[in-house]
Amino acid sequence: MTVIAESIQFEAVTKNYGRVTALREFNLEVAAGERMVLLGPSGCGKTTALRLVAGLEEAGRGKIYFGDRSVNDLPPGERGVAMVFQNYALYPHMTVAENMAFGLKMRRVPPDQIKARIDRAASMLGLEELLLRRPRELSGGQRQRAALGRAIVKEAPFFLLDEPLSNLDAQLRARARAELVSLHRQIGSTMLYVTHDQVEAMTVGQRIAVIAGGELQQVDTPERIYHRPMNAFVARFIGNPPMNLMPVKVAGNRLRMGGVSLQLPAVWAAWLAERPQGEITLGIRPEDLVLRAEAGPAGCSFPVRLTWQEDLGAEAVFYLQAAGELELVVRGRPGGVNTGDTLWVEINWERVHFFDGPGRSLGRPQALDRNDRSGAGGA
Amino acid sequence: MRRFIPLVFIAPALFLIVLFTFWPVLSTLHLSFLQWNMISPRARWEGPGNYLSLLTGREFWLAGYNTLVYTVILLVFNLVLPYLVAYAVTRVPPRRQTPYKALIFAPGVISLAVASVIFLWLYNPVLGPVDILLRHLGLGAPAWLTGYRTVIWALSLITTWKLFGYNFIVLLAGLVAVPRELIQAAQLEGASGWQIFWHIIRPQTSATSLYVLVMTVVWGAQYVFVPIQMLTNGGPDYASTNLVFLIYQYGFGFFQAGKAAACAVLTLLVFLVLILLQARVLEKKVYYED
Amino acid sequence: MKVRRWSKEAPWHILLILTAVLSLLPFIWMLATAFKPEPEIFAGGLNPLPAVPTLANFRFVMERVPLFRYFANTLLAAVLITGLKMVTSILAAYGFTRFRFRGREFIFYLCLVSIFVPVQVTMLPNYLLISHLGWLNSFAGLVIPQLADAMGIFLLRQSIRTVPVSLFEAARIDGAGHLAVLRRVLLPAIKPAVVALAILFFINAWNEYYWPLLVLNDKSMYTLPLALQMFTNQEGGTAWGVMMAAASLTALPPLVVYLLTQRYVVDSFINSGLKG
Repeated sequence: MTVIAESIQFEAVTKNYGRVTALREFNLEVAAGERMVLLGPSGCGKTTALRLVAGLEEAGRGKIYFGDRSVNDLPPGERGVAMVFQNYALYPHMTVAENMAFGLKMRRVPPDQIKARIDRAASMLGLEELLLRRPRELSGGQRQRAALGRAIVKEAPFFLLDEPLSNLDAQLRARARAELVSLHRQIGSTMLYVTHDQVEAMTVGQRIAVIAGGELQQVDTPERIYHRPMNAFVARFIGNPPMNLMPVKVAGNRLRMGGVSLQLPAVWAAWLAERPQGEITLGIRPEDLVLRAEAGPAGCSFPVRLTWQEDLGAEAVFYLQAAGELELVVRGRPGGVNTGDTLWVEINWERVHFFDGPGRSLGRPQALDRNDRSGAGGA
Repeated sequence: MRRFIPLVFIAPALFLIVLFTFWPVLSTLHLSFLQWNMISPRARWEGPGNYLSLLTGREFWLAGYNTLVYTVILLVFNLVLPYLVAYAVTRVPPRRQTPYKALIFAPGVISLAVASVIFLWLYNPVLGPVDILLRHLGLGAPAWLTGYRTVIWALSLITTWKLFGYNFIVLLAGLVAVPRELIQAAQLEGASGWQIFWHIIRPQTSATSLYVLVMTVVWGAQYVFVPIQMLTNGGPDYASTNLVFLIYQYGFGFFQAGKAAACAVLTLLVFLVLILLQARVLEKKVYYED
Repeated sequence: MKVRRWSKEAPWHILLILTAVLSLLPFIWMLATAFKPEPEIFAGGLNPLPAVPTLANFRFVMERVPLFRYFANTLLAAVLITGLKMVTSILAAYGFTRFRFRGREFIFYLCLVSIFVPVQVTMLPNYLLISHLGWLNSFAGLVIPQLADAMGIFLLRQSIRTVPVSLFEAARIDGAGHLAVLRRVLLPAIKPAVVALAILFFINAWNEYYWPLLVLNDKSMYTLPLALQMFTNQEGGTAWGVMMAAASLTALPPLVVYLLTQRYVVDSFINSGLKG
C-alpha cells in the first residue's frame, strides 16, 4: 500500500492566539515522502504548526502549500491528512473497526473497499484480534495501534502525529518508535511528527526541525543537529546531559573561562583570530571532556572538584566545579573516584563549539573536518 | 459565510428565548404604564398610576410579606433539610444508597397539580389523615387551608414535598464531587467527623448550595403558585397570596393588565435585589470549582 | 466490628428512612383512597389498605371526563415539547461550545439569565401574543412557547465540555460535517446526559400546569394536570375517591417513566454536572 506523497511548505506563516504569538514568520519545506520531526519545548509552536497543516487552525498570515497548491482555505476533511492525536481521540462508542471505517464512510468509500483496507491495516499493526473491541477495552499500547490504524486506512498523502508515544511506558515507546519508522517505509506518505522528546526525534526523524519561541531554529539531519548545532539553544536542547556552555575570553592562543586559563590549539587560535572579538561562548558535550586522575601537560588540563556523581551502570555522569564558579558535567566510565576528590579535565578540541554573543554558532575551521569522525560532514 | 454557521445552531433557541422571555419583559414594562382590560382595542396611558395604586394599596405589601415568609420556609425545608439528608446518604455505604436516592427523588416527578390535590385531601379537617392523627394524639386539628396562620405553612409543605427530591439530588451531586483525597487527608490529620464536615465539605459544596439557594428563591415563588391557584385562590383574605399569584389575579382574575404588569415589574425587581444581595453576601464565602 | 459500624451508621439510616417514608406517604394515601369505596372513605381511620378494594372511582372519572382525550393531549404535547426542546437545546449547546465567535459568552449568559425570569412576569405579553396569533386552545399555542430551555442548554454545554476536543478534531479530519459530528460523534459520547435530560424534559412537560391554564379554556383541549382542577373546584368537593383516582391517573405516566429509568436518571443527574 503506497500513497502518492506530496511536499508540505510553510511560507512566512504567522499565527497568533490573542496577544500570544505561537508561530512567527515560519518557513519550512518538508519533502514528499519525508519523515520530518518537529521538536521543541512545550509551548514552542510545534503543535500549532502541525495543526495548521491539518487545517484545525487557520494561519493568520502566510501560506501553506501541499505540492504547489495553497491549502489555506481548505477544511480539514478535504486536505487528505491523517492524524494521530496525543490522547488518540478514538471514538469511545465505536469499535476499533468502526473507528477505522468512520473517515472512509464520510468519504463514501465503497464498503468492500473499506473492509479490505481495514483488514490490511489490521494485519500491518497486529490488530486483527482487537477489531471488535471498544477503546475502553484496550490497553494503552493497543489504543495507540488502533489510532495508527485509523490513520493509515485513509491512505492519505500526509501523515500527522502529535506526540503519539507520550502516553506509553518507556519499554513500549522504544518498540513503537521502530515500528513507526517501518510503518512509514511501507506507506510512504509525507510524515510530520511532533514531539518534545529528543530521543524520539533522533530515532524517528530523517530530518528534525527544532522550534523554540515560535521560530524555527534549525532544520537538519539528526546527526547534524547533534554535532553541528547552529545556535546555543539547539546545542543545549539536544543531548542529555546537555552540552556545557561557558562564557570564555580568547587572547592570542590563551583561552580563559572562569578562573581557568588554557592553551588553545593552533588551528583554533588562528581561526578565532579572524572572528569578531568580544563575548563568546564555548560549548563542549559531556562526552567530549576527559576526566583524569592526574594533571596532563601544562595548559592542557585544569583541576576540578567532584561535587556529585551518578552511576548509571554502563557509564557515569560527573558533576564538577572548577576555579571561578565554573560548573561542568562530564560523561565517563563509572568507578574509581569519590565525591570531593580533586581531578583533572582535558578537552577534546576537535569536538568543541563556539557561539557568539546572541548565541549563533561561529562554525569551525575547515582543517578540522578532514579527520572528522563524527560522520556529520563539513560545516 | 462561515462566520454565520454558529448562528444557525444557536438561532432556534435564541429566537424562542428572546421572543418568549426577553421581549415580554420589555412588553410588560410598557404595559405597566397603561390602563387596559385586555379586551378593548384601546389602552389608555396611565403613567406611574399603576405603581402608585399598587404601592399605596394593601394587597401588594401583604403579598410581598407573604412571599418573604414562603421563601424563608422553603429555604429551611428545601435547602437546609435536603442538604442534611444528602449528607446522610454520603455517610452510608454506596450499596445501601440506591433505594434512598430513588425513593426520596420520587415526588419530584409528580405534577404540582397532583401534589396539590393529594394534600387537599390530606389536609381535610374531618377525614384527612393529618387531622385524624392529631386528634388521636389529643391535639387540636387546625383547618389548614382556611386558617390565617396555617395556610402559608400548609401550601409551603406541598411545594416542599415536590421540590425536596430534586434539590436533594443536586446537593448530593455537590457532596459526591468533593475530592475523597481532601477528606482522607483531613482524617490522617485527626479531624473529627464534624470538623471534616465544617472545614472541608461545607466550603467545598458552597457553590452548589448557592445555586440551590437562588433557585429555591426564584422558583419557589413560581412553584407555590400552583397550590395557591388550585386550593386557596390566595385566601383567606390574601393570607396566602404571594407576588406571583397577585400578578395572575390582577391579570386573569380582574383583567387589569396594567396593574398586573406593574406588579410583575416590581416582583422582578424584588427578585433581582434578593439575588444580588445573596451574591454579594455569599461571594466571599463561596468556593468555586473552576 | 460489624456492630460498631452499625451503631455509627444507624442515626443516618433513621434520618433517611424517615425522609423516604415521608416522601412516600402521600403517594400511598392517594392510591389507598383511590381504591376505597365511598363509605369506607367517609368512615375515616388511618388504615391505608382498602377493606373492599374497588375500581368504582376510576370508572367514575372516566365517565365524568374524556380521560383518554386528556391523556392523548398531554402525551402529544409532552412528546412534542420534549423532542423539539431537545433539538433546540442540543443545537444551541453545540453552537456555544464548538465555535468561537464574537459575543459568544455574552449571548450565552443572556440566555442563562432567562432562567431567573419568573414565568409570571412574562405571561401577560405571551398570552396576548398567542391570542393575537389565534393560537389559544391549540397545540401550537401550548407547545411553541415551551420549546427553548436555557437550563437544558446549560446542562448539555457542561457535558459537551467533558468530551475531549481532539475527538471533534479527529472527526473533522475524518471529513465529518457539523451535523455528522453532532449525530455520530457527540450525541453517542454524551448519551447518558442526553437521555437523562430528555426524561427530565418529558416529566416536566407532562406536569406543566401554569401555561396550559392560561392558553387552554376549551375543555376538550385540557391536559391531565389541568383537568384535575375540575375535581377540586366543582363536583370534586366531597368525592375524595374520585379525586384521588384522577390524581393517580395523572401521576402514573411520569411515575412509570421514572421507575423504569430510575437508576439511570438519578445517577446521571448526579454525574452530569447538574449541580451547575
